[in-house]
Amino acid sequence: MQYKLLLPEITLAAGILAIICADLVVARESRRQTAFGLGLLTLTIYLMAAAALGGVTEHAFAGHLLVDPWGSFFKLFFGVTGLLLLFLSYSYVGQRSLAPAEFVALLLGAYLGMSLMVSSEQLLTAYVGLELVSLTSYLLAAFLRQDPLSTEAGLKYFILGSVASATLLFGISFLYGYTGSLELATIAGSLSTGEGMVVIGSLLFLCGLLFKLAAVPFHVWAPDALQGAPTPITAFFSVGSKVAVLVLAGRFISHFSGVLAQEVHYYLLLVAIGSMTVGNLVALRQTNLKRLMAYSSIAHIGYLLVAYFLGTPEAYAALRVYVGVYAAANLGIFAIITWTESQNRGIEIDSFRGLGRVQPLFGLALGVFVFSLVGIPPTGGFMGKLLLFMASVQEAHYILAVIMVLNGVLSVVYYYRMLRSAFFEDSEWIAPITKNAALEAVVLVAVVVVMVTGVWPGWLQM
Amino acid sequence: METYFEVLFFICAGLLFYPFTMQAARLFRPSGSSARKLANYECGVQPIGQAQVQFHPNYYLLALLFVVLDVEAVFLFPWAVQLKELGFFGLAEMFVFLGIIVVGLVYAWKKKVIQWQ
Amino acid sequence: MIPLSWLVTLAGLLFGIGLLGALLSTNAVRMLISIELMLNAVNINLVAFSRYYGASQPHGEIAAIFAMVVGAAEAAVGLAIFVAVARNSKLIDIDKINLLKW
Repeated sequence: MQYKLLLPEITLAAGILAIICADLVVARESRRQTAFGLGLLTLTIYLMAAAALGGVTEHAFAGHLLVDPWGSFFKLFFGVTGLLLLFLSYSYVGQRSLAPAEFVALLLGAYLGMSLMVSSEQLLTAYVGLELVSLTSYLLAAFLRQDPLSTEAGLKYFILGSVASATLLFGISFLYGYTGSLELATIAGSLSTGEGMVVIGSLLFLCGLLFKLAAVPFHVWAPDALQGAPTPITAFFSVGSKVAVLVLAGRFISHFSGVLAQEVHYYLLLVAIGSMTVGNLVALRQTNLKRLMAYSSIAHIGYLLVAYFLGTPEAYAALRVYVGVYAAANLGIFAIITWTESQNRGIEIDSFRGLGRVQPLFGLALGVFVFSLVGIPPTGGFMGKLLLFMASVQEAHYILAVIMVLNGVLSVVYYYRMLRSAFFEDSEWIAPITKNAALEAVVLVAVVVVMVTGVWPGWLQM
Repeated sequence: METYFEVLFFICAGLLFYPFTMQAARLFRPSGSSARKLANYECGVQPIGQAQVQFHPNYYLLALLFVVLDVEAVFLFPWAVQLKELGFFGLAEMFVFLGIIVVGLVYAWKKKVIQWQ
Repeated sequence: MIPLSWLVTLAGLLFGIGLLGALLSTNAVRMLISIELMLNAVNINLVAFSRYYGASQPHGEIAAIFAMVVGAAEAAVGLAIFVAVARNSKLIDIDKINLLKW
């Protein structure tokens, strides 16, 4: 039965409807518990369904759905990050008295779109998935309705994002026009190199994807959207939607690598190097933590695109490790930011002052995450960077390897400012300092993932 | 090319039809006017003020709801054409789809989007 | 029958006009209209190609239907965000919305 293959997505859709319906009947006081409880339940079932499909490779629904291990890995990844995000946002939603059911339902809607995107090689399905992610993201970015920063972030994200979606769809229409099919495999099969319409189509399509990834010439929306959005949503933007787009881009590139002109590959390399360098350079002078993390995520997207440029199995293996560790470290840092924000300390780098003294667990964890993002052993970030580095040396791209190392050195500077603020500077914290068990749990899980990957990266490649 | 002459003929006929009927009506109808006759008839109200006014934001909320529900109906047309071939399964699928939309509508209703405030 | 190249040219022109409008205009609602124009250009393209391939390849027309629905959802989301922005700042002139920079 085909529907078994769609079970993870059906779970999410049913969960969203259940959350919306439950919100209409339960009492006002218990709405937050109900919404988040149902959200946790949905994502747990989703994880189990995705795990059950782990080893399956099958097409279904006339080619619209493709379940394969590569996609299933990312579904598991989405399930775990989704659970962590729910823990991350529970107290935030309560403190700001946001509408809980809408928050959780929109977040799960984005996960539904992401899940569809990674399990399709059919452009129409992928497009609908992408739009589901985008539309929910615009709304989540503007979720603090009373906050001018948040609505402005939503507005900017919406306008630029819609232009990108339209561009992407225009590209799809040309690919369809040339081959009469919307399936990536069929399209790539009936093409020969360098036909005008194909080049236009695939360039428009790639530009749309790179925009959603916030890779460098198309990155201007990202810092604004990430700074203005609610902090848990910033975490989601940096680890959730981008990864799904990355998977779709990977499927496209792996099908088209034989067909695309060599220039397109070098264009990709240029984008990768540009993202790394610009992201790291501009991050140097940021003082707002969320904006800093936005630029750092642009830089990390650059590293991940290198894996696609290389296109070897080693590079793809490195990509898995890199994505897993990057997501864990990012979620951890955003959990700490959410906590400092909840203590009314703002979201500047200076907000971390005295963190190591007041909350040693978070201070130490921040150290681990920063080491991981920079790529210092024995953390998982080192492993990710090392594997990527070795993959590029294997392909004899020595200059690329050198640029990657130099960028790593550059990133030390701004990541170090966070640590310096946490450990070597101090300031008065206004009592009472409240603990938050959910955020501590997120931080602990992230630390464990980062450290385990540092010793044994193989578990992310199973 | 000849087929286009038919189009031309219909355009001309259409253009001539309006003045012809109006003139013909003028020949037969009684004429004469009064203030009461020029007033809006039954369903009309007297216009007041400028046409360019600011609308209440609630109009936009209602309009948004309408646009979304309206466009969802696009899926009903191809489905209706193919219903016989889709059989019972297709019918059930469409009810799932409509059920999801109804959930959205109930949500909007409960959140008092439809009530005028 | 209208040649395919005319339709594709029309779609390209419409898309270009929409893109320019979306990038150059300063009124958010006008930007939204321009974005809808871009989506409609895509629809022309899809339907034209679909017709070119004949009844055996209806993928393009199906895609056009989905594009329409997505476009409507996008307009709804966009207008909702515009209303939120307008409530905060009393205007939707893009040049004046500049809290977030560098």
